[in-house]
Amino acid sequence: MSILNLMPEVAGYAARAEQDLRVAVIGFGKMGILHSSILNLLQPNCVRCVVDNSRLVAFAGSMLFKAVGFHRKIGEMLKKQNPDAVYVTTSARSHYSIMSSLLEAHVGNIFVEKPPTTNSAQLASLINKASSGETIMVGLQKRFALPFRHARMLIRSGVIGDVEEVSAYERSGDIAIPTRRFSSLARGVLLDLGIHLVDLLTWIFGADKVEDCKGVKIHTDVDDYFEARLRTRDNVKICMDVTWSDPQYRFPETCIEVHGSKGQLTVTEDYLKAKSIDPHEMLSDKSELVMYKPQYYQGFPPVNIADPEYTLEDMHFLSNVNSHTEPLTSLRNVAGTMNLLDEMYAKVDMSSGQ
Amino acid sequence: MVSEFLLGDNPFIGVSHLAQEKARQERKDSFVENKARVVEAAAEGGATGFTFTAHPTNLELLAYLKARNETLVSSMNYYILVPHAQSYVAKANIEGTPGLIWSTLKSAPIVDLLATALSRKPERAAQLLIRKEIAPYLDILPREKVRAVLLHEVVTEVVIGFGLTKVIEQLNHWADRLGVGFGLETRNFSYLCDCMRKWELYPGYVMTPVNPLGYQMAANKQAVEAGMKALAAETKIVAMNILASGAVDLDQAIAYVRKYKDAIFGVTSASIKPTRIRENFLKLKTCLVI
Repeated sequence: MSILNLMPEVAGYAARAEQDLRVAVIGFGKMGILHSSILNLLQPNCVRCVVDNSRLVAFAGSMLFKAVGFHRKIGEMLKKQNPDAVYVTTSARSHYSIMSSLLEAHVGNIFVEKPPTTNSAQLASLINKASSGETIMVGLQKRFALPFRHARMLIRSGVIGDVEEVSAYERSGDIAIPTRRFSSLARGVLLDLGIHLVDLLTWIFGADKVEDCKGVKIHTDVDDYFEARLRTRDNVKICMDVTWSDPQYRFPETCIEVHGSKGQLTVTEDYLKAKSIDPHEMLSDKSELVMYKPQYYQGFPPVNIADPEYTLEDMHFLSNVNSHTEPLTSLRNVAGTMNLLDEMYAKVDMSSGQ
Repeated sequence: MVSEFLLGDNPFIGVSHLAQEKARQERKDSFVENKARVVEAAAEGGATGFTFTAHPTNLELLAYLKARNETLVSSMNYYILVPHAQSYVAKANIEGTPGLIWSTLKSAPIVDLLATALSRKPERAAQLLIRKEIAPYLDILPREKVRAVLLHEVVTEVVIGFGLTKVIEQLNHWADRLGVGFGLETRNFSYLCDCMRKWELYPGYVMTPVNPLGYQMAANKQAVEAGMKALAAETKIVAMNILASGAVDLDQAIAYVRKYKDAIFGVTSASIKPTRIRENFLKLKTCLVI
């Protein structure tokens, strides 16, 4: 199994990497710095300017990152720098207004971190504002993690037969003490972290109906824990839970377990384990396959910062910018995910507890 | 020739680059008494030092070891990885980035902050941060045995990406005055090689993944191999993750590392099991010191 089977869009990437792209980054927090560093390694010095409305960040940044222009206003940056592409890596609640202003200014290539907006109505509004020639991508990077791509390929090829039942979780220990940081957003872990899982369940299985859900406040006044039962278009049952307050999970982990008529499959960012009743050519003519991260990422991707999927999504975006094609996680392609999230929040039964 | 055999701390601090599931399993054995046994077993097997993140749990371990076996603590070399990046990420999750910057600045001595502000050299802030993080370790460890302070990859990759030479110069200078070596940890070794040549700036040590799979070796395995050969005369290369996080066995790892043993100064190995780590170092020493 070659990487190019799982990620054909990276074929020939190196040959195209020399273009003189000028990138602006809006929001210089951890995600802004992460994407900037990856981009500058993929295409040296392509990050030309940064916008951050914090005086402290803008001042400290301008002192330290001397080759980069720092601004506090988006309009001022667009006027002075005229970037080819803009990364939006601010907090979620500002995405809609920033994206709106970029689209009104006819910025042609935009990458926005997840969630693209706080709800599906805002997303629909952005889709209406965007024109067909624009490349707009949402940072739902789990679709670029090779084990998940591999799992989707095996499931769609019928290696484990018909999908009968799915259980899944996304857990982290990020929010372990009380904070009011998410109060103004009025949505918590499902929107911030669980969006990855809901997006994978939509992308891989076609999840599109919500049966029931339950949310729990632990350290914040929004959902710190969320569980739900969903159904796919083929009426397959999916049970899922999401939390950012489980101290056992030092880093976020996404896990999907699939039971099929001919076998089972478990996949996380780190590994894939598949078992089939019969040997299958996609399991190297065996009935079992186990692959871990080091086997997927052998001398690849060409930049290694944080998890490999961040570099892969940036390569995907740059490829789409170059070829003027629609990204896998375009606004339109993640609309199903945002609709499902809205439905889950509309049906949630919230409580407080541990 | 490989001359430094370093115990790594990933299983001590809940990190596995194979799978988080493995890290959670290892956590069950990650109590101070067992970790101390691992350090002792590593030394018995031939480990010459310990490379660790400035994580509070390592401070607890070293204090425990010093009280129990000061001879051992005095005999090993130390390579301290700073900053403890995960703690800053965790803070940023709660406070946001501006909040993180404020709380970090507020924790530094006011005199140092003023000096940094007046110097208009923000790279000095990195030095303040690191100085604060390693201070408690310098209180416990013999100063002459602290061979180097290594800049964590989270910062190194930003330095490479943005060409922040001043940060490296500043930290190199500061470490020199402190009487310890200075180095960089990176997973983007070939880019770092390019930068070092371009900047004509060679830190004393570079720690980077080296394994037969090419896992975490960027830009790619061949580029890292070429970089090691080219840079060995200028800097001491410490090969980490030689087992590709457990995806290859020790014999495969040794066969691969041996090809570059003239370029590699040190290797790391880690385990939460005393028996395993003793065997690892016995074999590494036997096969790599020739």
